[in-house]
Amino acid sequence: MGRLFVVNLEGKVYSCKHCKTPLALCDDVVSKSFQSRHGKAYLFSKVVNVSSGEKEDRVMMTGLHTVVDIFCVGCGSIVGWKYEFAHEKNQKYKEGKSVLERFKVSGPDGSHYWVSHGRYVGGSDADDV
Amino acid sequence: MGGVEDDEPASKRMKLSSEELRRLSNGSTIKETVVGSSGDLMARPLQSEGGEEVVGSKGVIKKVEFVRIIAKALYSLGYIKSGARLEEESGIPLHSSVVNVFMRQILEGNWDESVVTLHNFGLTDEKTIKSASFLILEQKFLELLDEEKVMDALKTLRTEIAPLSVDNSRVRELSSYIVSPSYGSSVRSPKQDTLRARSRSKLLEELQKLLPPTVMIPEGRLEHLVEQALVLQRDACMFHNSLDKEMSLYSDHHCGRDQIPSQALQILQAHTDEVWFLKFSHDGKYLASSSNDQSAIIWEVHETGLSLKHKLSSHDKPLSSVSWSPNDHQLLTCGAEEVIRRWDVSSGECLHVYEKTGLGMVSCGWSPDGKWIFSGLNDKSICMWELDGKELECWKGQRTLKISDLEITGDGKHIISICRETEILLLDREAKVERFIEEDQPITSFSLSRDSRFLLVNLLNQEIHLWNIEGDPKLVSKYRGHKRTRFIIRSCFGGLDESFIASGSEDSLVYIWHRGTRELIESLPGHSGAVNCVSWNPANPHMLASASDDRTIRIWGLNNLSRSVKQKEPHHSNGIHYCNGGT
Repeated sequence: MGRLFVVNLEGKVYSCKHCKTPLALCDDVVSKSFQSRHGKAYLFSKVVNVSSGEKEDRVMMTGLHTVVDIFCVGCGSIVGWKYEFAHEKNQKYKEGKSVLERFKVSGPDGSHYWVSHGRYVGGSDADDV
Repeated sequence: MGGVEDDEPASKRMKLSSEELRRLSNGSTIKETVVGSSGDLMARPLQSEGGEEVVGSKGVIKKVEFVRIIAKALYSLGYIKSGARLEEESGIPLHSSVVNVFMRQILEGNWDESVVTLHNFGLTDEKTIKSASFLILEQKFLELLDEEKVMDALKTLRTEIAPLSVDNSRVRELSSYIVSPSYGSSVRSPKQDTLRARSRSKLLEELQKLLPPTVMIPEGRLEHLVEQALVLQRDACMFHNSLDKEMSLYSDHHCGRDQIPSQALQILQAHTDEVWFLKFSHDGKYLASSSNDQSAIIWEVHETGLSLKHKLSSHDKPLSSVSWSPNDHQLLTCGAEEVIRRWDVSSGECLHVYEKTGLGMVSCGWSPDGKWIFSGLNDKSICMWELDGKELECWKGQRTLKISDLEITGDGKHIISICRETEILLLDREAKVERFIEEDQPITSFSLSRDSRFLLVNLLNQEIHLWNIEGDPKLVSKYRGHKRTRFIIRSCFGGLDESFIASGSEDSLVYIWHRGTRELIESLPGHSGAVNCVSWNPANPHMLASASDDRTIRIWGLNNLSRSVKQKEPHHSNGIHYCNGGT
């Protein structure tokens, strides 16, 4: 793979669990009440060093959304999704923001999140109403 | 006859009959009837004589004007008889009679009469009349001086020239000629004889420039129009890449694609890992490439192709870039967040290592006089060293990012680097002034034009922006088409007069755009991995090099050339393959 272009983040940073590429700042967390197939997920106003997949219309817990999956540029593993378009008015606030699955990132203190067994993880999405 | 008719469309032009022109010489209502003078004529359309007033398919060429500039061109070429014949046959005189009289008077030196005639032109601009009078009388003055008629000259100066109040400092200068006769000649060329007055035909030329073009057609007008058309054709030519393509008047200039390098002539396989960077030397005789394999290679450019000259292997980290010294005798190599090494090109020897304890270098560059080295460091500062390693200056603060290029402008004054995610710093290191290029996307790399006036900026969102960095930076063009999602992909200027933009791409193609029209003109397949960097030979507009993740470097050239390249015996297996046709 070529010479990776990585945007550097300063401060408390969430990084890719596998390759440590910085993905988002703690300061940019909008909500911690999201969930994905792997459990907890956080909504961020800004995420860097990711590439996007194809646009898809997905029915999420809060309704129909147009999203793209996002992948770490360093190792290519999927780390979450980005909201391109929300079909419901009260979900518009999500547009342009991205969700990172807690399971896929290392926290600012290097901590990881493990999906506990036996816990039923419902669908993806949530709002922080 | 000659009356105003308001129902005529204003665009209809009047063809002057010789009858009307004779009226002109009487000095009557010239203002209204001078052909082509805009304001007046548009407002009061004159009676058309019928027949064709315009020539050409678009109907924008006024016949009278066309014939007059042709006549002028004939006279300039020396075809006096032809010029006169044209005037006669078309019934369109080159100059109105008044002007003819004026010109004769000038050439014969009838100064006072010529000034009177000047006032009969019907010019509305007082200033023009005065300036023209000044020129004529100045000539009169100087000629009188040459004839040693000092008293007459003085009288002219006092009573005729000075009252015009046109150019008082010149008047003073002229008066000094009277006092010291030698002064005038020393001001002109020393070789010139004592004659201070220029020739009368030169005076006529000066007057031509001063007077409105409708009165006296400017010298070389037809030639100027033709040149304008040729230049426009050349600038619109998207494939114009060869000096020897002469422009002909017989058909519109139009180069074919065959002038753009589009055929892989050589594949250089000496790196053992991805090649991330390459650059031709300023004289185009060498190519330097650097790789993830922690080495750099200097290649030599020959008639028949490139050959490996030196492999420079002392770094312990992948190399981020290389930089040629201004005289191409030395090369800097930069290890990514490591050290900078300076090498001698002919011997391949490492001459110096530049490092700073606890820090890593991220970029390198030379001052244009070759005396100093510049480098960006991973603590965001930029430092400057003498060749022997003595640190001269350090600009601390947010000057550079960990991933950034570094360029020094040709005048040595400005340092250019990416200082923030979306910002490029243009630092005037002497005046200590900072200018910025602001983008709304992260910047991944940039490239400076040869004349240091333009910067090509690569963005995260797959756009390449061309900025003019003289004065306040201005966005000039955008180029799109290539692919970039993860890596640093570089682009460059190149071709004749740097009329083209080339770029690498993650889809393994080499992209080439025409700089002026922004059209994508080529996307060259061949590499089997992302193309990270391209460099166009500054001395050969037909040679382009590309560096790829497939560990190879491709040398691209013209299509027709590849057919005549003979298959070379591989007598030294230094990893060079020649291609003949096909990829």
